[in-house]
Amino acid sequence: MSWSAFILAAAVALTMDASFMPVFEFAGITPSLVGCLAAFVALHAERRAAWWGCWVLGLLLDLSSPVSIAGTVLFVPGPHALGFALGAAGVLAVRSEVMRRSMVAAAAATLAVLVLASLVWTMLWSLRGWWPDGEVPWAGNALVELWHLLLASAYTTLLALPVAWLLGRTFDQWGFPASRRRR
Amino acid sequence: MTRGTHGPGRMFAATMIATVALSLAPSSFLRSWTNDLSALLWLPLRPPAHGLTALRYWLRPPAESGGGGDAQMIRDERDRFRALWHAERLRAEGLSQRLSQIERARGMDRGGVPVEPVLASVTGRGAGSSERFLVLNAGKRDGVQAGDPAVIGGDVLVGRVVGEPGEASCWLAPLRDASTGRLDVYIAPADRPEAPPSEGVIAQLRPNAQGLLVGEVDSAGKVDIGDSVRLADPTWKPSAQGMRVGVIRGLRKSDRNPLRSVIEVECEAETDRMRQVTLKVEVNG
Repeated sequence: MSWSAFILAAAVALTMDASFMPVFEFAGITPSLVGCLAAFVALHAERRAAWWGCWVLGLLLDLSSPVSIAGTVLFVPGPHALGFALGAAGVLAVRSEVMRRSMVAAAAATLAVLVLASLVWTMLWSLRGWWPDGEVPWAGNALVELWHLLLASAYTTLLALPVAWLLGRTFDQWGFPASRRRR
Repeated sequence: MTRGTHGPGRMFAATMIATVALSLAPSSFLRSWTNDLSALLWLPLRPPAHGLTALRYWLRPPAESGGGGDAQMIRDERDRFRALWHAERLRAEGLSQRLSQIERARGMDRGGVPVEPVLASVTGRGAGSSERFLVLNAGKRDGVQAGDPAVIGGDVLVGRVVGEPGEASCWLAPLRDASTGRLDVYIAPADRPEAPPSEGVIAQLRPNAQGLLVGEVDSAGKVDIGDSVRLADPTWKPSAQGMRVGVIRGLRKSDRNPLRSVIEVECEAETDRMRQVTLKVEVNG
């Protein structure tokens, strides 16, 4: 995988998620381009690059999503990073069985990555709540927050269809094993 | 996660372990450096994000700004001045309370000893269990001396200064603190609070573990729940004499002596929530 293409795509996805994607907000949920990109990388990159790529995307997301706790802003590097790494593991386990260039496969991979990432994120924050200075970034209980994240994952899955098509147009620039073979 | 072409490698496994540790690290540890890291990450991304946000608002304007730019500005201005008005009103009330507190303390000047009221804020508390000492932001430079009494509301006794005051701070021992020891008091009936000491019942109180002052009085002394308790202790400075200590909240027969009653006095000064006191400083010369 070409890391320069990855860095450029990650920067675009991260910036879009933080600033532009709320334009697609529906019933309080916003889709995530970073999730789509993670699924794309997990589907096509070499195994090791897929692991690292998803972890980096999760870490960038962690450092971009502040949590307001006790009147201060806190960034916790880890919950998304671990979640995306687990998501990559899930996609890597089944990707040889699917048609990777299919948009439906990309959408399914996005759903898998985001569902696993949501589970890990909620679990880690729940564990953090046990610390003496630990607070959780949700007002209700963890299950309500998880439900909200799962709805956002489903919404992102819809968005993953056109995004996968767009990313497919840039396939040759990524330097994936499949694109090298095509050349 | 084994090393090989299919596994992520040992380095990745170590990174995962470190990530788990960071995920569960205490907030106080993370807060110090993750904010800087995030700021660094977003340094190059902020300008395009700003442009994209403008594009987003152009495509989908926020619902609350539907009334037009001018109307929104007027609403913002109104809310800003409303907040300022509330803040100023609170400040005026605070100043008015401080003034009345000083005037009442000056009015309670008794015994021919010239007393200067010094308003002091509670800036801290001592360590230790039960009733803790208070740290006040008044000291030698304000004329504060050891033993000076502290009051609130003009005549409600809070405690007295203990130890040598510092240049700009001193320690205040509340009445309920064990270090206060025994207090000589007289009890004025609730229906005649201005009764002279000669008509009141004399008692000696000591703090107990429940934060009350307890003592025994003669059963024939005609005391009742709700009666006011005032200081009449020669070991305290003259400016503290006659100050209100508290109110009788409990009254029962003494187990040791049926001819006497045990009274429980609740201090009127709630030191846990106290922010300011007036020190009655004796003016020398």
